[in-house]
Amino acid sequence: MFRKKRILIVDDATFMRMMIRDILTKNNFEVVGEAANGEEAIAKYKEFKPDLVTLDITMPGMDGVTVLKKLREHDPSARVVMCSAMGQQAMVVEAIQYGARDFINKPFHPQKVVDTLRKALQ
Amino acid sequence: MDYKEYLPVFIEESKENIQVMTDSLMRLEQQEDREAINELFRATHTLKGMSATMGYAVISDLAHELENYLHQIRSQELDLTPQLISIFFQAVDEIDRQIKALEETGSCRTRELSWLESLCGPGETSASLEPIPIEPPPEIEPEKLADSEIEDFFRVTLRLSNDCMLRAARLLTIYRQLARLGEMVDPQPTLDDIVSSRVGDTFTCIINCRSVEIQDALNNCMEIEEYQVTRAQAKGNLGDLAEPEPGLTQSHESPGEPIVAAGYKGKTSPSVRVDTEKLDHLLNLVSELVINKTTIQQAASGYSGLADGVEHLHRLTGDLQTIVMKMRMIPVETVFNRFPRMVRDIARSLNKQVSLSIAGAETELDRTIIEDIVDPLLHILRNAIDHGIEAPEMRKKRDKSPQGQITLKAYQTGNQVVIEISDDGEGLAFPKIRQQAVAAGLIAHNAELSERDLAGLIFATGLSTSDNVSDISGRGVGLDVARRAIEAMGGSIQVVSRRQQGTTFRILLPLTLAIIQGLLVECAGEIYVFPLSYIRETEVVYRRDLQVVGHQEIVVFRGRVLPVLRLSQIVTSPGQPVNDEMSMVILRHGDREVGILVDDLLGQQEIVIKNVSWGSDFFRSFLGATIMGDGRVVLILDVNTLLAPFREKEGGLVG
Repeated sequence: MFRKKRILIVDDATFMRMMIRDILTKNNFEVVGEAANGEEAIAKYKEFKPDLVTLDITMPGMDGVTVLKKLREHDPSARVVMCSAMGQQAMVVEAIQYGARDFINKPFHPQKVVDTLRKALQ
Repeated sequence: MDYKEYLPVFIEESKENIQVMTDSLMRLEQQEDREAINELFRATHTLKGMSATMGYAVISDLAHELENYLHQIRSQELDLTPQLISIFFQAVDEIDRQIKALEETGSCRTRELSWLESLCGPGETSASLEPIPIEPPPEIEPEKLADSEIEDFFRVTLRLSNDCMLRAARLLTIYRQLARLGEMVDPQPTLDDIVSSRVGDTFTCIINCRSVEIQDALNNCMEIEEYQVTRAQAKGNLGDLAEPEPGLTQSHESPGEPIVAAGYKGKTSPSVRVDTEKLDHLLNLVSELVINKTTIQQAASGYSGLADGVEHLHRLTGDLQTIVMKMRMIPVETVFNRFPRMVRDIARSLNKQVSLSIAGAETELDRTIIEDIVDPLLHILRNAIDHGIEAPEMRKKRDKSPQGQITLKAYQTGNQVVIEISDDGEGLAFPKIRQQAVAAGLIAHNAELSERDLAGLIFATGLSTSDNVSDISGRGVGLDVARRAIEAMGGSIQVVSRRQQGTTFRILLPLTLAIIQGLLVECAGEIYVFPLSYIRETEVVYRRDLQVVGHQEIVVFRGRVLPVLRLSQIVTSPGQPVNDEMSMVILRHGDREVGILVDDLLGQQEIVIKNVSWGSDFFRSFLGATIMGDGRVVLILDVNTLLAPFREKEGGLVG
């Protein structure tokens, strides 16, 4: 039996977190934590050391790209998948240049989310 | 083919080239400078050739990318923007890290996917792909491997799925996956196109790796509708690279040649690189010879027939010694070179404008001293930028140029080298230093101290270890550490500061650590040596002159109170009988003077310091030992340790 992959969800919107949590738990991932902003994300990352982080780009306070930079500074091997909406291509491009593994688009398509995360975890 | 034995040379020369690259970039940052671009290009090219020869593809690839950019800049196809310079700086840093990793671990770090990928792209065209024979041809016969396992140039063509929304972002993830497999040629769209969203739904490139790797990578990417991987070129063209002809292989396999080519700079005088260990060994042998010569001189003094020969021997050994000492000297330039870049980075991070000027970089110092002086200098420079130089607005208010000026100057005076670091900034915050010193119990609250005394306190241990010292807008953070490092080298440090006009640190260093002038003294029947550089004067004292104040023996000397120590109590046991007439050696270290009582002064002599690993605490008072002409081993006193008890009382004595 393989160990379930441990995921940290970062999104300022509660319903988005719930939605991702549902998709992931139904597909055999373990959601180890949720964070609603950048500071919380960094603290929880240090606490849980997850296998992967889903990271929303648009958040009040620290934006997703800044959080990504800090996470990668703290742990250069951090695996991060960005969550973006339409029209945020420039931010996603920037995030990938800073080491994000991949990205998922809102609105989320459950199978795509699962595939993206599985591939990003390889 | 094994180039391991060339690794030290490779590392050494790579560092030189990295330095040239950094210097050129610094110049380019100031102004457009064709010569700087050319130098940058040459150094990059040299580095590429060397690392490719050594088989360090991680370095040669990066240098290759850099070179392509520079090529375009030289041919004016590309503008040298500040962003590009900044990327170049980062690339040079990455090369530097790789070299350091090589030096420490013997292998390169695996290249992380990061901003580096942004270097690939427009510079890459198939025309600019120079043959870099990095990998030796595989030993195993190619036929025996599955086709998919053979490294070759493959053309990759792919199409994104229709429902892919962020095409540029998607192509970027694919680009990065492929780029880390091997050298990528002729990507369409290019990285620049992708980053600026000029993309369609297809991507194609040629890549040098194993086809199975490409399949794995692409299968791991999202939103690809279909892809094709085909061999890019018929053998005989690009394929030549993988299977060099015997003649070609030959020339790459002669290990000496590429290194010599890389090392040739054209303008320097012919030189040979020697391992520093060999130099140390040579110095050791020469000093043995000097000792031996003295023995022979003494033994031959009765035989007139030997006089000429001994005289000749004396001259020869003297010359030999001078040359060996000179060989150990290197210009301070080797460390000063690193500072412009560092100053630039620190100033930027603090939003300050600082210009660093360097004078006397050609001044030479013993290499062991040079290595140890880097950290203290760094420390002082960092303080000067952080605490000394004011923010531009503040400087304008004070009618100063918004750009702060830091001067780093080296020069030789007599047997010492002086390094001065001056800034035109804030100056030391004397009231705060005083406050801190009182709080740390270094001085009494009502002590009357001149600004000079206060300035000296910034080197005191108590002041700088306190946590809230960074509140002092002057200096004081860790300067005691710098002071101790400098003193351990037999040097000293002083500071002069004027409010709102600036601060100057002056570091005095001995020219060399290995041979010093010493004063030989006798004490309790044994001979000891004091390093001459610490001696202020010598004097005869009588027992009746000695007085005891508190627990400290003192003597009034020229109207001043001088604490005295008896060498006999340090080196043998207390309670030795005291002669009526004694010699006193007055040692000076920093502002502190102490008299040391000995039985007799024997004379001055050049001595070679032999390091000895002491087992016992007793030997802490000694710097090392030397061997006299008659073979006797004599201990050299460590003035720092001798004076340490007085230094700690410094505050108390002043107050």
